[in-house]
Amino acid sequence: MTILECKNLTKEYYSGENVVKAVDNANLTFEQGEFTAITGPSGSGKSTLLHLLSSLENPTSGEVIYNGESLKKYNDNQLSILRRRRFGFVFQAYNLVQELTGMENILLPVMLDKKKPDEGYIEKLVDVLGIADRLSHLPSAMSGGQQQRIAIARALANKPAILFADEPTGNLDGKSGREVLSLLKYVSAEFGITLILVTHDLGVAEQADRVLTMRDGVCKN
Amino acid sequence: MKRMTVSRLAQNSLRRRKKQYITLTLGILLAMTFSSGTAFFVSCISASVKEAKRSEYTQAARIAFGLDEQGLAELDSQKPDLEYGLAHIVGYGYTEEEEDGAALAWLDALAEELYYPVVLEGRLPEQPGEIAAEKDALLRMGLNGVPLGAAVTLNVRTPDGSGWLPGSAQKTYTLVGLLGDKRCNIERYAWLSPWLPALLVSESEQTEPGGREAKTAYIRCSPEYEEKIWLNSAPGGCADGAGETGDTFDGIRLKSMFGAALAAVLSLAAGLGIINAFNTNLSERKKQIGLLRAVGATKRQIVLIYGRESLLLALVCAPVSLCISYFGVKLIASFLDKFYFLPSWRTLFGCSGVSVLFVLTASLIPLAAAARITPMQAIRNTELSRRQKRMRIRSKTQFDAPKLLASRNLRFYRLRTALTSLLLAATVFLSAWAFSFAVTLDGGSYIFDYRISLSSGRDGGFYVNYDQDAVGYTENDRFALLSDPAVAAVDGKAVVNAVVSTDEPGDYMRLMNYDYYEALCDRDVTQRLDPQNYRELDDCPAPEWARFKAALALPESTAVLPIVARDESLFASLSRFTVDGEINVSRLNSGEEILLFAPAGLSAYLHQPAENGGRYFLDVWDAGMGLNNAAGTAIVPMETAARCFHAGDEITLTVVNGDAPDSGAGLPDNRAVTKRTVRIGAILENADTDLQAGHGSVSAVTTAQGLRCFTDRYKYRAMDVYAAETITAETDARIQSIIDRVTSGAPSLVVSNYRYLQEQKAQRRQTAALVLAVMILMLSGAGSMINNALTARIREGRREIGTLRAVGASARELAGSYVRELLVMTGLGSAVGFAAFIFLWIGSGLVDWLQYHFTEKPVFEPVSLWETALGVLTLFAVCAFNLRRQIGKQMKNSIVDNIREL
Repeated sequence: MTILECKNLTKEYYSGENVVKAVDNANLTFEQGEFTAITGPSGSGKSTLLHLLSSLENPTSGEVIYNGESLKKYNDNQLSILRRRRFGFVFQAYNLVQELTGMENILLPVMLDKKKPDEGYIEKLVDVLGIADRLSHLPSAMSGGQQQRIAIARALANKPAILFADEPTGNLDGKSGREVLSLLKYVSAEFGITLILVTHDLGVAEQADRVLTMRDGVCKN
Repeated sequence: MKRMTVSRLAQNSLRRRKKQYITLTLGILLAMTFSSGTAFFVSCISASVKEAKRSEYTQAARIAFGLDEQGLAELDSQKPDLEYGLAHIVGYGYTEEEEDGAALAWLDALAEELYYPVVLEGRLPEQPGEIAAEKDALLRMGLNGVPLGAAVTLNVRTPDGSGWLPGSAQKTYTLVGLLGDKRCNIERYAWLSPWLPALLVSESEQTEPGGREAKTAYIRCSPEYEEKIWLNSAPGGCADGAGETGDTFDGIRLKSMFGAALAAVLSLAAGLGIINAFNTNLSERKKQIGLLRAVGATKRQIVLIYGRESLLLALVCAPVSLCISYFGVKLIASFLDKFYFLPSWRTLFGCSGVSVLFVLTASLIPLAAAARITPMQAIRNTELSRRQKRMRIRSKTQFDAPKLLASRNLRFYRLRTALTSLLLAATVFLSAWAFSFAVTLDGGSYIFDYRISLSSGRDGGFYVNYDQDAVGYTENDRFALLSDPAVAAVDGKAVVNAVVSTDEPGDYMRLMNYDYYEALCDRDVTQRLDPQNYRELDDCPAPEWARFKAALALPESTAVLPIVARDESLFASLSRFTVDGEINVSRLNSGEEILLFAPAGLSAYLHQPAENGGRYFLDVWDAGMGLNNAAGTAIVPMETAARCFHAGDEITLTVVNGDAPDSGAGLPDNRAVTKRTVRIGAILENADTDLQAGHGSVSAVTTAQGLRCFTDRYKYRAMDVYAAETITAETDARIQSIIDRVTSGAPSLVVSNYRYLQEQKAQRRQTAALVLAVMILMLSGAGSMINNALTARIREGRREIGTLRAVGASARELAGSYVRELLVMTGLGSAVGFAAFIFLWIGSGLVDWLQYHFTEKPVFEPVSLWETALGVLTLFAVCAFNLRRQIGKQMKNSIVDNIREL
C-alpha cells in the first residue's frame, strides 16, 4: 500500500542569476513498512528530496501526497500537526533541544500534541535504544551516539507512519553508525514504520529494501 | 590593493551590518544624550545658584548703608582686601497716598556691576528726569501698573549726608525701566532702610539745594574677608549682599540634583542598553570573532576592531546627542522656576567628552568579554553547555512544551533575566514614584475664594491708633463685593490698638506687655537686653508709656491688647476653640461682651545673638509651643505665666484715636478716647491665627458691629470673599474687576483661589507631561533591553526553532514560549518595582509619623500607579508584538533554512 508519493517534484535554488535544480521532476512512491535508501554523491539533491518529502521544505513545483492527500492543501498549522503525529525525523546533527533532558526531548512531540505518553511504548523504545541511563541528562552531557539514539527515540515517540533519516550515521564513528543503523532497521520493522533514509554510504544503502540514486537532482530507482 | 587596517575592518563591518547598527546607534544616542544631560544638570547647580543670588540680591559681598566720611575712610583703609562701588542717594521718594517709598540713587560703574540690575522692561535711566524702579518699590508707593514712559510724581525728601532735611519737594520723573526686586529681598522690612536704593536715576541727577548725597557702598571681597567686614561707621547698618542659602537656593539645588539623578538613572539604563545591544551584536558575531581568533587575532586586536566601531558610532552620535540634551535641558529649565541654564563652552566640551567616555566604558564590558572567547567556544557555542553543567535539572515526563522551554531558558540565562528584570524594576519604581509625586503636587485649595490684604501698612502706635495709619478697606468696599450675586459673604478683618486694664497686676499681663517691649520700654534697656538684666524691663523708664497711662488715668495693671473684628458668620465655627464661657454674637454686637483669644500660658524667651554680632531679643509665645522649642540652644526660656483671665470677668478696654504728634510717638493732641468696661464672654485657645492682630499673642475678638462700640475710625486690613457658587472664568472676571476697584486705594495683595487652582492645574499638567515623557523614555530603555535580549535569543536559537518546527511545534507554540519568558521578565520586574515603591512609600509615611506625628495617625500620601501599570502593559504588548514578528520572520524561512543557517 502506497503511503507517500511525489509527482513532478522540483526544487530550484537561485544562486545569483543561475538557477540550480536540486530536485528535478521526481516521481516516486513509497510503500508502507518499506525501507528506502536514497544515495548519491554530495550535492546530488538527496537531502533536499528528503526535506521535500517530509514537508520540511516547500517544492518549487510538483506535489507530495501522503495517504492519498496532497500536502499542498495543508496550511502551516496542519503541516505542524502532521509532522508531530505522522512523521519522524532523524538529522545528521541530531538537533536535540539543548535546554531539555533526554526524556523531555523524546516526549517533545507527544507533549506538543498534548497527549498522554504511552509509557509502555516509550519504555520499550528506550530499552531497545539502550538509553535508559541518559534520560535525565541534558544533550551537552551525551556523546554523539547517545544523542542520535535520543533523536531516534524522539522521532519514534509518537508512533509515526514514516521515519525520515538524513545521514543519521554521518557524524558517528563506524561502530556507533552500525549500531544506529541496525536500530533504525529494527524499530521500523518492529513498529511497522516506513523508513526513508538518506546516505552516501553504499554499505548502508545495501541494507535497504529499495535504493534510489540521485545525480544532479534526478532520481533513479 | 587597499591595505587592511583595523579602522577599515571596523568601517566595513559597519557598512555590512547597517540594520543591526541602527538599533545600536539609537541606543548609543540615547545613552550619550542622557549622560551629557546629567553633566548639564550638574553644571547647572552652581550656575543657577549664582545667577539666582545675583538676580534676586546683588553680586556684592556686603552692603553698607548711609556711609558718612568716617565710614568711607574705614572702607578705604581696608583696601586692597576689599573694593567697593557707591550708590549716590539723591533723595527718598514717596507718593502722596503712601508714606512708604524708596531711595533714589545713581550708581557708579562698580556699584552698578555689583548691584546687577535685572531690567524686566525698558532700560536704565540715561538722562535727568528719568527713573527705573524695582517692582516692589512701585507697589509700595501705590504705583503698580504705571506704564513705561508715564510721568510719575513723587514727594522727594532731600538727604543731608546722614539723615534727611525737613519737608519734601514734588518732582516728576519719566518711568523708563522696570527692575527686578532686590531691596525687598535684602531687607524684608524695606521701609526701615531708606538708604537701600530701589529707584535708579541717571548720574546727572542732583540733590536739592542744601542737601548732601548719602552713600551706600556695595562691597566686593574674598569670601574669607567677608566675615571680617562689620563696619562701625555705617549708621544704616550693614547687610549681606547676597542672600543666605534660603529656600530659593535649596530649591535650585534640589531641582538640579533631581534632574541630575534622573538623567544619571536614565544614563545608567541607556548604558545597560548599550552593554546589552553590544552583547547582542557580538554574540551574533561570535563565530566571526572565533574565526578571527583562530587565524591569529590577539585579544587586543579584537577589542580594537570592535571598539573602533563603538568609537566611530560615539563620535558620529556626539554632536547630535549634545544638541538633543542641550535643548532638552534648556526646555526643562524653562519649565522650572528660578533655574538657570547657562552652559559655557567648557561645559559643552566637558559634557561631550563625558558622553563619549560613557559609551566607550559601556561598550568595553561586552568587548572585554568577547575578547576572552576562545576560537572553539565561539565556533561551537559551548557557553550553554558550561551553564548547564553548573545546574541540576530534574527531568519531567509530563510537561507543557512552550512553558518548559521558557522556564529552562529563564534558568539557563538567569543573569540576563535578573538584569533585565532589575532594570524594569528600577523603571517601574521611578515611574511610580514620579507619578505619585505628581499627585502630591496637589496643593489643596484656600478656604476662601478671594483674599485681599494690605501689602504694606503702618502701625506706629501699638497702644494708640494714629489716623494716618488707618489705611485699608471700608465698609463700602465690603458692600461693593457683597453686591455681586456670586458672592455669599465677605469676612473683613479689622485690628484696633487698645489697652486692657484690670484690678490686679499679674505676671500674665506683664508678659503680654513684654510682647511690645521695644515700644513700651526705654531703648537703653532694650539694647542691652540679656538673661541677667532681663527683669529690668519691669522697671525701665518708659516715658511715653507712663505718660499715656497717667494721662488716661489707667491703673498699673494695664496691658496692650489689640481688638480684632471679624465677620459675624465666622463666630459659629469658633465655639470648638472655646475653653471657658460661651460665644453669644448678639452680646458681642451690643458691646456688652468680647471674646479673648489667650493661650493658657505665656512664656518669655530670649533669642541669643548671632556669633558675628547682633543682640538679644525677647519673644513671647504660647507656653506649649515654647516648651517644644526649649531644647533649642539659640533660645533661652525665661519664665512662664498662667492665664489670669476667666469668662465672665469684667475688664476695661481703652481705645485712643487721633493724629500722630510731631515726635512720631505718644499721645495724640486731638485724641478721642473710648473707655468701656466689658465682660469676657468666652476664652478661646488654639484657634485660627487670623484672630491674632499680627503682633502679640493675646487679642480681644469681636464682631465688626461690636468694634463700632469702641471706635468707628477703623479700616479692614484684609477681607476674605466667599462665593455662593463655584467660580467660573466669567464670575472670576466680574469679581476681579470689583476687587481691582476696591484695591485701587490701597496697595494690596490679592489671592484668588480660582487662579491658584488654575495655576495648580497647569503646573500638574506640566509636571505630568514631563513625568510622562521621562517614563516613556525609561520604559523604552527597559523595553529595548528586553526586546534585545529576546530577539538575540530568537536569532541565536534559529536552529532550535527549526528543530521544534520539525518535531511539530506551530508558530503559536513557539511564540508562546518566548512570550512566557517576556511575561516572567516583565512580571518579575514590575512586581519588584511596585513592591519596592509601596514599601518605601509606606515606609517614608511611617518614618514621618514616628518623627513628627507620633501622637496622630500616620498620614500616607496618595499613590498613583495606573500610569505605570499602563506603561508596563504597553511595553509588554509592544515587546510581544515584536516577538511575534521575529518568530514570523523565522517561520517565513523553511525549517531546513532554520537548521542549516548555522
